[in-house]
Amino acid sequence: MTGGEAFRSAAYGLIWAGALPLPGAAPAPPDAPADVEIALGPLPAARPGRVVGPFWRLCEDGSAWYLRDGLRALVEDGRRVLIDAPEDWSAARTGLEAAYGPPAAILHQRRAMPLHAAALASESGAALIVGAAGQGKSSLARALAAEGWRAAGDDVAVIEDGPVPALPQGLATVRLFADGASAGRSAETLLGGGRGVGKAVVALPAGAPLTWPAPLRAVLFLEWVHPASARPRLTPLAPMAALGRLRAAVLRPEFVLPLGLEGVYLGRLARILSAAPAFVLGRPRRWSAMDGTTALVREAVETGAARAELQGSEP
Amino acid sequence: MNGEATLRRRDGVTEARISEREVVLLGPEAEDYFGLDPIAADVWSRLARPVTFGALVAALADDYDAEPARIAADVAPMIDALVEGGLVERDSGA
Repeated sequence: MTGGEAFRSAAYGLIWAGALPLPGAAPAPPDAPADVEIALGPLPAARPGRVVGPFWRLCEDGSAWYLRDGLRALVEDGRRVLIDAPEDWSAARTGLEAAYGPPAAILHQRRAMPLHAAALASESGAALIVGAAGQGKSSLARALAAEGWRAAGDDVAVIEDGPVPALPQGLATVRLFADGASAGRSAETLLGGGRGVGKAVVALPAGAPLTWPAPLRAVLFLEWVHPASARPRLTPLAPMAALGRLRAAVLRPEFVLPLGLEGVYLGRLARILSAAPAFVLGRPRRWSAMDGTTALVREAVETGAARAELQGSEP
Repeated sequence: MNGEATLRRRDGVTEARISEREVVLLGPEAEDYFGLDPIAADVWSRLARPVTFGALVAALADDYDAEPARIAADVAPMIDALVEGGLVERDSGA
């Protein structure tokens, strides 16, 4: 096994230290203790457990085993990730694959409720962008980053619980389908090709410094509007109506029941939606509508910030 | 519903406020939650201590200035749903 602290990254409110960096993560503060240790090496013998979801096996001791396209990983106690990658994989490829798999289990084991969403923050606050695969979360995240928004997560987002739900800094990457990857508007670095759904992993521009965690000011549910000539539109959504949609966005929901997290997460989801307004963000399927769409994200966040100020919810 | 039937919240129910007057509930063995509108949330708050159905209806009739029979007709299905959802226990009152 190889470990140590060759790389130290800050993402999702945790310090990740060990043999691999998390691509797109900010460097960890030098004195911050590690929350999660990442090591490379052969996995121990399998333990009693059962398959949950397409890539995971959950064992009776709470450990989670990940198997995808040759990469195997053991995730334990919300603190340790042991990765066994094929010998012919480069460190970069292993890092990319590891960045989008094991963190979900780590976050569930820590009761941190990872969400399948994109999240970005500006000086006015953060937006959580929820949508099914293929609805354009990452393309919108990339467009917002080009306008100076900072990444708080792509595919994986975490909201810190508290009187004002807030987003810690996430990975400054997006995963894009081929058409999205070729339609960018700014110079970006292609980190590598994700397998899975054939996506490319693109590094987002660094953006201006921002104080993290960023208060969540809007929850946006993406929908396509028709026809393609339609204008983007923002429609308020009542908290109760938003709850089911946001609950469905919990990443790797197959962990929730076995780990006894339903009640904990429902409470957190309710607090999120009581604190930040929810909207349906309808956008047409044309790239030229992106500017109008990002303007609506900004409008939603500013609406949420104004509401928070009115309610005096700022600490 | 028998007015003498005693209603009490089940142990282990998760309760979360989602807006100023709305609440969501999750039963101890449930996967699906219940969303309570402001009136249902008010009923739930009145079940913080065991209460008979008759006393619950009388209190609501007073506070909402409505006929007890109408209140009972409105609230009974809500109570049935809470019982069936594993959120409230109801003894027969017999």
